[in-house]
Amino acid sequence: MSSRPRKVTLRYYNVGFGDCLLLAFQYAKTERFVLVDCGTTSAPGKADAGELLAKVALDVEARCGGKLHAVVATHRHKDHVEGFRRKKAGDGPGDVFLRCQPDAVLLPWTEDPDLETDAVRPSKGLAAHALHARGLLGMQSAAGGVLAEAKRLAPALSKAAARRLAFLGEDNLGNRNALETLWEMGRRSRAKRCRFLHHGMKSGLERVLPGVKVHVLGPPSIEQHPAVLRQRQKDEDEYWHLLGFAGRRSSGAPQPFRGAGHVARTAPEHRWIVRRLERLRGEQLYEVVRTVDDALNNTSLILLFQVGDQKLLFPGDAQIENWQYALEKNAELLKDVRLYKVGHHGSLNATPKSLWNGFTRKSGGAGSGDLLSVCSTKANVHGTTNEVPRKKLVDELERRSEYRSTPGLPKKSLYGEVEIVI
Amino acid sequence: MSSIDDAGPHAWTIIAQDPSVLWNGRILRTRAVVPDERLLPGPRGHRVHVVDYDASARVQYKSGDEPREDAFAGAGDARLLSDPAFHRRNVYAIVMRTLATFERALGRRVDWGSGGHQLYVVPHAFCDANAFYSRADHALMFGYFPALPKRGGKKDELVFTCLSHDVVVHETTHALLDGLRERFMDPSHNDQAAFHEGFADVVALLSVFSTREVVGKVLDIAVQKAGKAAGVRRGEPMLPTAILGPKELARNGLFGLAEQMGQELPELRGDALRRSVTLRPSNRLYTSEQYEEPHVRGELLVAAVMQAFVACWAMRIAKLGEVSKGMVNRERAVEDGADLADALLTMAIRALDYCPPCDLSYPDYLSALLTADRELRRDDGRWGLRERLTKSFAAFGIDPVPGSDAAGCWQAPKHPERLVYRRTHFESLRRDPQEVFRFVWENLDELHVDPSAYTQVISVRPCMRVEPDGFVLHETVAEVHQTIELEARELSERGIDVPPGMAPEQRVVLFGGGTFVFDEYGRLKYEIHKRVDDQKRQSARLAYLWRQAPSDHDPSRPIGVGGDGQRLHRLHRMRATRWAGAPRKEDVL
Repeated sequence: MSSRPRKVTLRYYNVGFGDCLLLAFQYAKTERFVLVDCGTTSAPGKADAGELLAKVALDVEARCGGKLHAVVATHRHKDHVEGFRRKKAGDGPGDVFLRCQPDAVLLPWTEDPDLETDAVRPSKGLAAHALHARGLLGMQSAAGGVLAEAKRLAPALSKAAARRLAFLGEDNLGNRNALETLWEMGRRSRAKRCRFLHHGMKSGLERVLPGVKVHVLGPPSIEQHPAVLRQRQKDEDEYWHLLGFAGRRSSGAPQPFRGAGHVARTAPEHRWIVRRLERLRGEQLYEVVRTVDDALNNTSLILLFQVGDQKLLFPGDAQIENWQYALEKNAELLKDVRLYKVGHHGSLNATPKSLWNGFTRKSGGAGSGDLLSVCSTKANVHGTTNEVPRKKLVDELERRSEYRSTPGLPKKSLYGEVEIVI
Repeated sequence: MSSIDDAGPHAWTIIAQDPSVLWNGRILRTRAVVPDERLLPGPRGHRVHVVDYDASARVQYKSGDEPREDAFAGAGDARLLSDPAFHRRNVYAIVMRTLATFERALGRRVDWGSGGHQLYVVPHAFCDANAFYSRADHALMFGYFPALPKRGGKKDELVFTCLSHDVVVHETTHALLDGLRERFMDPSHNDQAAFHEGFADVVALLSVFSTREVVGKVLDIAVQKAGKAAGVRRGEPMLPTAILGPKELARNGLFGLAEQMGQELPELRGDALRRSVTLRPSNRLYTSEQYEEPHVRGELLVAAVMQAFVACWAMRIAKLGEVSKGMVNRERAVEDGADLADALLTMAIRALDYCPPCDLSYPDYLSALLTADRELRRDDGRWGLRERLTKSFAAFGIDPVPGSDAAGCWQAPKHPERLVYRRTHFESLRRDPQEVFRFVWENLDELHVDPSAYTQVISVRPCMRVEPDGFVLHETVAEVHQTIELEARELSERGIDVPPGMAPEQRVVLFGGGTFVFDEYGRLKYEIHKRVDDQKRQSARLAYLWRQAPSDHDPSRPIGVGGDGQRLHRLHRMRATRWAGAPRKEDVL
């Protein structure tokens, strides 16, 4: 086998609001395949998400000839890992990927199952890493509680408010099934374990992808990024844990006073405040779930694939807090990126200005002007207050790069492709 | 629906601190005097309307007639915890007690910030570790949540924030402070943002300590911890002063109480008491980066006041000990502690009348505190409160405002002879905003009021306070607020710095104004102003607000306005979560 790929092809599947990206590294006599994420929270058009992901999984299997060389799950959001879900009957998309027997499975350090602690163990004495992981788990439990409560509240909320709550609530659920598939894939891999990565670690793909240098730029570990540590002082992990516990407890309606009499019909003098309370509660739940969403996005793996002078950047949904460390340490390395997978489906917060301004291959600049940007997204599903994809960002991407996006694909196309010749 | 007319003031059983603070194995209780008023089911009185609706469960609990007597006088712990009727009466009594404390301190009726006469109080608003005042909803909301089993809680045990005395007082204080200084919720610099939280904590803690049951408990914890070595047991009527010094009271007593207080609630209440004891004084803290965030900065105010409280109390105990050879009567020590807390609480509230109407800083509040107290209590001999407070604030780097007098108090107007009174009427000046505006208009220069700004008299409040000698002190406090909107490009003409990255067309709103205190003859006694053209203050405020602005800030929306009625519940959650806020606008595309 030649020591370096000649061509890299990125197949970006039209999964709606989510990511499913298949990288094919073409060597002289063979090809090697890396799957980066597979999930959706809102399929394109009226497609059924389950059916779509099954179709995508089979297409990946066909394209890679039944053999994946690596699987990357950037973070555990549903729109990135739902496609790894298995079914009892063995015909889930996760079952398909499992039988593709990846040689390596890459996850962020926060998903290491060894960091899981007894949910009721006091936080005192826990290592900072374990505390962080525990806070994140608590947050996901909280998202479950939010979802359950949002269903009860739905009749009292506007349709738009109920929809955005359900969307973010579902995306932030634990996705345990998908994670277990990934851990199982790791156990069956050469290394017998997933690689749980933080900034600066070896990716573990050195033997899998000869001639390709894979830089792990994020997420930072707690020791690396004191800002993370500062965010996590005091009892905040406990707050999430508490909310998560409340969420698990209140999957049915909470009942503080069993046997206490209820009012059958709200009296006129109470209707105003009752309506206000319900609306306010809807807003509160949305804020909770937004905080959870941001925190989980910031656990995203940021990978930079380097083949010769071509660099391909995959930041998952990393937001500014995750990016900060990479930008401090790797600004130079990031300058001549050739392909940029647009962060977090084109939302606010995920494409730092300093990253974009540093790109030298943008068109209209002094460089080669051959920057490619690829965005996997779906408009109007992420709520109205935070426009995704953000028009200002898309305008800039269209102006300064060759911009590809899943909404720009012909109707009924399962995927689009871009090629980079080395 | 029947109603009850009460015959006279009466006291209801309330939980003294929260259900985890015990006395002889039972929840520590106290009694709160509730007003003599017509009560409808709820309870619903002339200032408070308790509505027991749970938005998480979407149910409303029935409430029946409210008995005039103390219906839960002999009730056991289990009933207090499980009977929603007790929860409603507990929260009603504490909110009304807090309102009465404010009205007593200020010598007049006090409005809720949300307007209207009756504030909604929702004791079981939702299943969440949160409680807050919402101006827009005219309400105080109290959440409840399941206890984590790890803390030794029983299965299915719930924590009710409406049963925590300090939490209820804290939220009520937000509503009252908002009524007294409506512009303190406006975007300003971090001191003002922190003040709402810090002040609510101060009032909450002092309110709890003004009950003898809690002070007795603190003393007993201190004795329990330090007394063994000194051969003293709990319950003895005479105690050695040696184990009741400031350090012992703080470390053993207050900290011990903090340890017993609802362990589920630090996330919610921010652990104010524990932090107030453990925060080591340093005059660098006030200017340190660590204390820039409003929800942390509030702790400085609480620590400064509570450490002064401890110092004064210890000093009093030592003095009592001089009489009886190093021993002090427990009851006297308890009485003194509760009286001191009450005096400090009154002083802290009264200071609000001497605060500027906007852009409040901690030094402003300290000067207001000292002035308010000196006006009424010339003799500071009993407790030395003013001296202790000055020292305690200084220990955290907070000094009275520059230009204050030697005692740190506001100065009287420099040129009273230049003030024009002849075009205004004394009687009207005491209650009529139009008359006050006329006075302002005739004295623009002397009152440092900029005629180019929109100017409004936002309150005129006549007050009547009883001095220790029994005489009545009449004052009138008027707030004048000024607003001016500029484009960033116009700032430099006024000597105000444009924050880096702000577009020239960005609209900005500046505030200013003054609090004018008139004496009983209608003469201006204090003029506490914030000039709208104060270059240093306005530059610092804009720089701070621009840093806080969301990254996708729409330039057509002005910076400096938009006080958000929901801000407090976000602040409370932030205090609990300490999760990072929005990214800075310069960082994202």
